[in-house]
Amino acid sequence: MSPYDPLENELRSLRPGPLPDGLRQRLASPPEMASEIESAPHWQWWTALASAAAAVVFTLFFQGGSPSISARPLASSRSERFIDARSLGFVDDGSRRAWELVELEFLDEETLVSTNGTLAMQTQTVRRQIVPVELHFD
Amino acid sequence: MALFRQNDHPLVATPNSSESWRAWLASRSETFFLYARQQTRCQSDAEDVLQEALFESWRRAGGLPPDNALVFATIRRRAMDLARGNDRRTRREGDAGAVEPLFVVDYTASDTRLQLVECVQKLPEHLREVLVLKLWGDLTFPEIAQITGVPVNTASSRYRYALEQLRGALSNSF
Repeated sequence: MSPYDPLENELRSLRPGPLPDGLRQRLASPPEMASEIESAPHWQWWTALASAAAAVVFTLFFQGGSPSISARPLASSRSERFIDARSLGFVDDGSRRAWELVELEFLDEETLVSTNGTLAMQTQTVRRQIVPVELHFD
Repeated sequence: MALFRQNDHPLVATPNSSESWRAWLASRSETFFLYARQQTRCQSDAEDVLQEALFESWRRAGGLPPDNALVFATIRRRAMDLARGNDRRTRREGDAGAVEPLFVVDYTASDTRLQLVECVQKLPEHLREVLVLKLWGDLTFPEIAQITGVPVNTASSRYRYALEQLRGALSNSF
């Protein structure tokens, strides 16, 4: 279509409707970035752990007790399992190359095994990774 | 390599500053909202989808104004996710809801202009989507093709067909 097409010009001159006031208020400030979101729980988690450890030491020291540990964790193993992949969208890098952003999801497992061979503890963490995949239109 | 093409925006880019966020919204939010309304069944869904999509795009761009194409693609994906999760009750509510005009309606304008607004709203969804992305979103046909998941030629022909339909409905006033 020509840039001088009167219909296109008339359409371009239409103004989209405004945002409702409620939505405008919800968008009043930028979102917290991921690092800001994660930092608080991390800090709280370490504080809670340190407090718990201090409480155990305090109790053992002043009550004269000693922990009864029948089996100390000796070995740990890690595994990584691919779970899912999903498309997040498409971007170009400014040089007319198109990329698809794909989010990959992995399940990380860490297992601690005690001396007597029993499972001591197992943690599972879902990890996400975003990778760009270049698209070709041949 | 910069994955996200930053908009040509007269901003001093300070990551996640309130000023750049507000300036970006002031320049683009109404167009994004227009697209979100098209992609959802009711206005409240459009508001939720738009908020989530803007926040997500902003974060992914590291707290800077993201590429328009990325925002439109995120709105579309979020709207599709919502539609999949919606139950039948929500769908009925959406169908029965009042349809707010997509554009600012100036009732002192010519009849042709008012008719044009009405005709755009009545276009089939797949044609109107391309029209919105092209005219108000300022996207190229390859970008529109990527977002809508169709070949570039299809995106281009949908745009032409939308204009032809509008011309026909307006009795060839243009």
